[in-house]
Amino acid sequence: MVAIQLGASRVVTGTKIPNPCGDVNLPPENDRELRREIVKCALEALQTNLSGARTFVPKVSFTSG
Amino acid sequence: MSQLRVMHFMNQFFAGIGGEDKADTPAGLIVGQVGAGKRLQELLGKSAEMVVTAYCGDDYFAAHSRQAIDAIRKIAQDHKVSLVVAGPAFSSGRYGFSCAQICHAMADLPGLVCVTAMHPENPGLETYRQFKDANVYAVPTAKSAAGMGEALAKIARFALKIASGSEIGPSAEEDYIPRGVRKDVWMAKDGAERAVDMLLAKLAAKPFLTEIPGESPETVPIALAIGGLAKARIALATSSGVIAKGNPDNFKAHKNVQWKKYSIQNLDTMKNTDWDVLHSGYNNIFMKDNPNFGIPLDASRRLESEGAFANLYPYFYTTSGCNASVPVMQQLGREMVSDMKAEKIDGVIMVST
Repeated sequence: MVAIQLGASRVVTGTKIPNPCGDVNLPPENDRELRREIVKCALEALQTNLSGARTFVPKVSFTSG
Repeated sequence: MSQLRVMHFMNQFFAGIGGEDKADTPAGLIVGQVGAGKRLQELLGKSAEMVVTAYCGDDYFAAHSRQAIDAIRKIAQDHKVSLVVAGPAFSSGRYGFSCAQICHAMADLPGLVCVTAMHPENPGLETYRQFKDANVYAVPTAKSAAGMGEALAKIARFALKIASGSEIGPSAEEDYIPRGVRKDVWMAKDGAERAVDMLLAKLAAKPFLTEIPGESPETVPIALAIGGLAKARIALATSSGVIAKGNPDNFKAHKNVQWKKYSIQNLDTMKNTDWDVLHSGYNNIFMKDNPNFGIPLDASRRLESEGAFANLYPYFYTTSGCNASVPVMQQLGREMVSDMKAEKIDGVIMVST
């Protein structure tokens, strides 16, 4: 929300402010998987043409935030 | 009405010392007025006397600002001035910077008022807006010295108002560049009434003046999508304050003013033994423990090896974005983007906290 208000056009939902790309509540292996999904989603966003700002949601379930 | 004693500060060029070849001239003084100062004295007439001209080379000031400021402050004190005029600097960045810095450095001297003059887009105004010194005013000028006459007239009008001892009103009335200072004043109507008046004016499509102007964020055009990721070079960037171990580049945890790029060549993950985190806007414990949270290197390397994109740029870009001034961050952003373009980077994943 803040990112879009400030003019970013391709925004990917992260986990939480102190750990945007990862989840401290997950075991390391699952945390790495989650991070991979977030980066994949960002790559997806980079390939998407837009007419207005958009939030991309990674295919993961966050334990918090 | 007492006569004002004025110090005029100019760079080496306007003080008649010389051009770019003399830009390393240290701070010095000339008794009386020089160049544009002579015209300003005419405009001021008997209400002010421009007793001394201080000068400094643009490059000298940039490299030795502490020494230059100390020397110029001493000139002002030795000559017992009550008004400092700095500039006009028009759109010259180094000159605007020195004018604003000098005014800020004088702002604590009792009874002193500083007036500088420059184009509203001069980067020197960043200092002015940041410090909001109550006794420093910047008047807007044209972009180039072709607007000297008008600039001097504005400075003189301002100086005469100060000499007359009358209070300087809001920027909209007095034609100076707003500093973002809000003063308490008595109004005939209370806040609720004024708000309703504004609303009624708005509904009737009549003009009204807001009391709290909003900052409108810059409009950023949407970049085109990357054609083929298979050929794309991707870079990682962050404002989370992930930095080299031990902070060798002296990042600040808040109000930071710089960016760096650090090598991740031959690294597959961000180890907590290699990196530090400096950002006072969030709890850094998790990020310090696993800097992949801010620079997702492990995941990016895996995707790179799987062929999701061609290659990962061997450095990551970083800054610490806490409580930072917007114009400073815009400048850092422009610098980073120009570096990314030079490095032929096709796409960037920027992690913010």
